[in-house]
Amino acid sequence: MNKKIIYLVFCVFVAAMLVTTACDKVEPPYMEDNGGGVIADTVRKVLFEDFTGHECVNCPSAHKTLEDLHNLYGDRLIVIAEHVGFFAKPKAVPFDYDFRTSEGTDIATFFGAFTAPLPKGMVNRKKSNGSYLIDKAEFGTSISLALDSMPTLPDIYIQISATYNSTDSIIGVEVKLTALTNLPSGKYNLSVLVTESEIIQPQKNSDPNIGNVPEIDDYEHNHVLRGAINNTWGEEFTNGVISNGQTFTKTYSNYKIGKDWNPDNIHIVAFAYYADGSNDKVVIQAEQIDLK
Amino acid sequence: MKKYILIIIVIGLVQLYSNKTYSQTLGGGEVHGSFQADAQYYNQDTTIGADKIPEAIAVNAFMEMRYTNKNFEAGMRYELFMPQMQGYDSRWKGNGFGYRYLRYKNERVDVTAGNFYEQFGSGMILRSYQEWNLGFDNSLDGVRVKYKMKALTITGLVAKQRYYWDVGPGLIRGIDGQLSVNDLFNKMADSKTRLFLGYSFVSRYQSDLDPIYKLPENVAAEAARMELFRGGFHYKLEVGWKINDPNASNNMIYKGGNAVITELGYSQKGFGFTLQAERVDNMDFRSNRASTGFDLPVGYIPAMTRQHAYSLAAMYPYASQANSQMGLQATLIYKIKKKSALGGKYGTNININYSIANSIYKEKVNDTIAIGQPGTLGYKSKFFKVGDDLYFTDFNIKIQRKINRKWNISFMYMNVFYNMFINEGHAAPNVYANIFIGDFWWKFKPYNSLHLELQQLTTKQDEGNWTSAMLEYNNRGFFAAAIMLFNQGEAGKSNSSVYPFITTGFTRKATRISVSYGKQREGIVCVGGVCRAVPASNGFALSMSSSF
Repeated sequence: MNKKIIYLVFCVFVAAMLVTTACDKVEPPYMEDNGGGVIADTVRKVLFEDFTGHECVNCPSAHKTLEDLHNLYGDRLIVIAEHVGFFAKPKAVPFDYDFRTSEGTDIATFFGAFTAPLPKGMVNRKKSNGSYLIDKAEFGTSISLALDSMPTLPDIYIQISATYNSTDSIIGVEVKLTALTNLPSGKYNLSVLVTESEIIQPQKNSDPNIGNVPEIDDYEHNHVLRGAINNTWGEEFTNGVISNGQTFTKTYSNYKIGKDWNPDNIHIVAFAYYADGSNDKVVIQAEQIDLK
Repeated sequence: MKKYILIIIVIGLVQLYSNKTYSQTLGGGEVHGSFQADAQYYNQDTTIGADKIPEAIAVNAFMEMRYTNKNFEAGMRYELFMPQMQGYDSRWKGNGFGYRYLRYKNERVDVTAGNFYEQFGSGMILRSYQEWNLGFDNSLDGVRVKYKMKALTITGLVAKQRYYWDVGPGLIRGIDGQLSVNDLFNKMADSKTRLFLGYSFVSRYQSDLDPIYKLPENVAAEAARMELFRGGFHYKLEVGWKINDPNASNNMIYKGGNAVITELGYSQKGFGFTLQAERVDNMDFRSNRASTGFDLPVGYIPAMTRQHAYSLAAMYPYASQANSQMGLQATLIYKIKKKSALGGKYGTNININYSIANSIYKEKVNDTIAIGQPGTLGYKSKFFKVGDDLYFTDFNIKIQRKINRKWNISFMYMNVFYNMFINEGHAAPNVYANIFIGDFWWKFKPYNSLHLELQQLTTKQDEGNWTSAMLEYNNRGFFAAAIMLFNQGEAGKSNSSVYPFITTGFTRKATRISVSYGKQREGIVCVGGVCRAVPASNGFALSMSSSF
């Protein structure tokens, strides 16, 4: 009997050792070296919505992760920072600036980010593991799945051109969509949004590697959603089958920018998405240009 | 109208369950089960910050059934959150069979397929469990095999972990051996010293699709343990390790983790003590490296602090910190002899408890890497050096005496320090509080008693002083209680609030039903160092549970 037990104990340890050797000790360097993003025009891009707030202490570290991912994917990663919910409310000075927009609030409410603990991200408005919202540690994986695991050629190619009239602060935008594949019958929407970078305002922070804790007085807020040129959910550009090579053009001429926006730091973001069916709200392709 | 509906439901369920409190037989096997439902009606109340919900009433309920027939067993649990009660994760919303399994068991072999709960040792590297009141369930969904011999039990499992109504992405493989040394050697069979040894190994597989970090896809954790008993003494030691596991909770650092938990205890009639110590360094282990909070823990690091039952004593509970924690706890129990001058006719029980939790010491890996910097080893630590941050301390003493056959009284004093940022995650001044409690039971007739509980919490921080008084009447299974809770508010501000609350119900055999109405404060509920925030509420609540 005892022999049998000793034999079994031995077996367990051997089995454990075998399994142990199957574990992955990673040696430095710990970071991947992928050598920067692809710079080409007709390439698949991803829309990343960053739900954030100036009083969200863990948000700067999420921005840092996005910065790392931007270094990796370059212009293929298009970020919109949406200041929403409790952490975005204007408070006493110096946190009195209101980054919020009604469009951002509507989007966040629809996707469940308005009451969620922040930071949260969303990739192409597509659910993963049953949820639209992802945590910081999943940003990289989700973006990689949306770009690296998909064909490099996008389903729709988007070209944006914009004009700016400085005398009356009016933006004009033309968006041209070209299908590079056949797409099934359905409703397709185009959303055109305005974002602004390099807004210097305070931000709460918990990560000493990024800046002062608990507040960074002169934090650089980037890709901040400022408004929508064609409403929160955009507008339908077609309803039916899309065939390879088909083009659609949408023109907007009367969008007035806010008084304290700096036209030098404004971006125009346009994206096409499914507006019905099982893929409702899922982004097909996104594009971004600088206003000036 | 709503009140009447509730009353009708109560009466209906009483009749339904009052005569089903014994096991049922079905086809030669037996059926056992349990049922619980909690419903709360939410009124808006701006004075205490209570919100309405669109559905007005929230209901959490489950029914569990287990069928056993000789060596075979099958069970399932239906769960309903329609919608989930306030304070429970919104991802619970929905209903369905959240737990089901088949099991075959004989003297040697025990095989389970489906959902199961398992714990290796103290649970340091693997513990799946369910806490209905926390809205927590990390049951494993897969296959488990146990093989039992005279001295040795081996458990092996492969599973994914339950994640609300889904399973998590990580694959868990584990093996555990528990050895009774006394049963192994015939010579030791009758020894007064009893020794148990255990070893466990758990590995998580999760694919690496991260474009920034080179992530380990197979993360292994190991733990070894011993338990020794002799006379009134017992000694326990458990040591665990984990290889590099950059994850959301440790901010993507590549340092390995380790943990030590040890306990020395002694007990005899009227006297006992335990001393416990733990040190935990980077041991947050989950089946999804991107998860934080309640989601998908594989390992469990207990909080080495007392879990208090009195509401104000439980106001500032410690939340266990699996990535950095050094803790000590000492408990002394002493009974002053009965029929002595000090002890009185029935004796007097004294229970003293002290616990402290600190951060571990951290220093830079080298000059260029900041502490905790993602994508690096993160930090170095010295095993015995205590960190700078004090997380929690609790000193409490309780004296309880039965005066005569009618009166039983106890007093408790507690002093607590509570680090706000660590325990609640937001920057606010740390809390220093003193709590005084008097508890009086008066059994004025057989099966009839009155219970008065008076509590006072004093602090200059957070929401200031609290006072609570509860009077409860018990008659066999029937009870009725009124609770008055008063908050003085922060010093210098006139934001006091009152929380009246009444409840009544009864327990009959294995069925308990209660109805309550009133205001409840915002608070934190913890079980074993795992904590959930509960928002304030105002309204009717109904609760029932039964087992059969």
